Amino acid sequence: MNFIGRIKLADFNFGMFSKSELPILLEEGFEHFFHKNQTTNDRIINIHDFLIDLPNNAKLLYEAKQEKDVLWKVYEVDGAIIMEVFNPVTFEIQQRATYSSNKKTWDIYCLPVITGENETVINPLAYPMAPLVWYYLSTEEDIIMIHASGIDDHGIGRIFSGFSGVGKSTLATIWNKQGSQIINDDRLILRVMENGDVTMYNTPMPYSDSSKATSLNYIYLPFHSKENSFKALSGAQRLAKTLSFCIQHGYNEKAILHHINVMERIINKCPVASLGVYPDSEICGFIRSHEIQ
Amino acid sequence: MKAIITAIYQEKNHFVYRQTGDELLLIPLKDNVADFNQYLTLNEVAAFIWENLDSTDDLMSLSSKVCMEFDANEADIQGDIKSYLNELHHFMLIK
Repeated sequence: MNFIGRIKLADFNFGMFSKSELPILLEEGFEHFFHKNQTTNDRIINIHDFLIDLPNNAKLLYEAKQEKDVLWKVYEVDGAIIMEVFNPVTFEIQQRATYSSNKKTWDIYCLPVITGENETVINPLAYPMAPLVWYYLSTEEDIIMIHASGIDDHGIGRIFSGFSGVGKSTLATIWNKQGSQIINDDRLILRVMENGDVTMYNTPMPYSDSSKATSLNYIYLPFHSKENSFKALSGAQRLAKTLSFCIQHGYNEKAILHHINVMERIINKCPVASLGVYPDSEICGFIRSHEIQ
Repeated sequence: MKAIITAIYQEKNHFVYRQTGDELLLIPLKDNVADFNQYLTLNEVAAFIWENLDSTDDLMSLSSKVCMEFDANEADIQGDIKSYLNELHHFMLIK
């Protein structure tokens, strides 16, 4: 296997290796996450330019459905995980991948594709493969993936978490106009650091953006409202509501308990509040005025 | 009440639970994913019942278990346990 490069995500390094002579295509969003130099790898990704067959004894654990089609399937074979990942437009098989938790190694198998420039390449992390690789990292490390926008307000990190339509992007834009940096306006990785502090990171998106990180101090769960309101959450409600916006793929008790553990540590460090939002610039001062300094 | 206790026991493996502070967080599994949008929080007594409820239990045996653990009078708590089991069963049905 030849070293291709590494993807650095939330300060974890994914070393990429390939035997294929075909060039590896990584989409635009990986541009600032991809590095050519070797370092210690936290995970290995071996890339293959062919598809393996699904073993006969593969036991289906989970199907990610998108209306009547399936985006990916997770199987278990002799204690190991095998994934079948489908093209999100044609729903034809795109990758098969295995992950060894012991070796912390992915093997991603995919057929060559021809680009618009008529070049034959392999695209091992084509969506939705990459987010699945990040997700499995979140089941083993002190990180969690969350539907949230995040901003860095001169060293104070806030996230606004919720599903589509609650105003994540709008809030990020309002803060940005007041001088804050947007870490991402849709999804983030939160990582509990060794000293217990929490850092938020962006991830590769379908568009190019630099790799960003900042400390996380406050978590908000916004909803549309005619006037701004603030309600600090506590106890089990705080934990469950925050977890409801985190990304999980299929039931695995160990993974769920791990995510609960990680989120407990995050919310013990970062206050959580339900936030009624009237979307204008006054929301920034309103939020600051309610924060515990 | 025996039928409700049996139904709760049989459905228990469709939930994941976790102690958090003084409460037990009960989360249903929906379409093979933990649904944190529909959770139930249980206090100390309710959590004890959830964790110790057995397939052979009826209201009497469950009340005895609670009385032994919390030093309560059986006659005083049976009504509360009955209400709680009904509420829990309803939650498990609609989740």
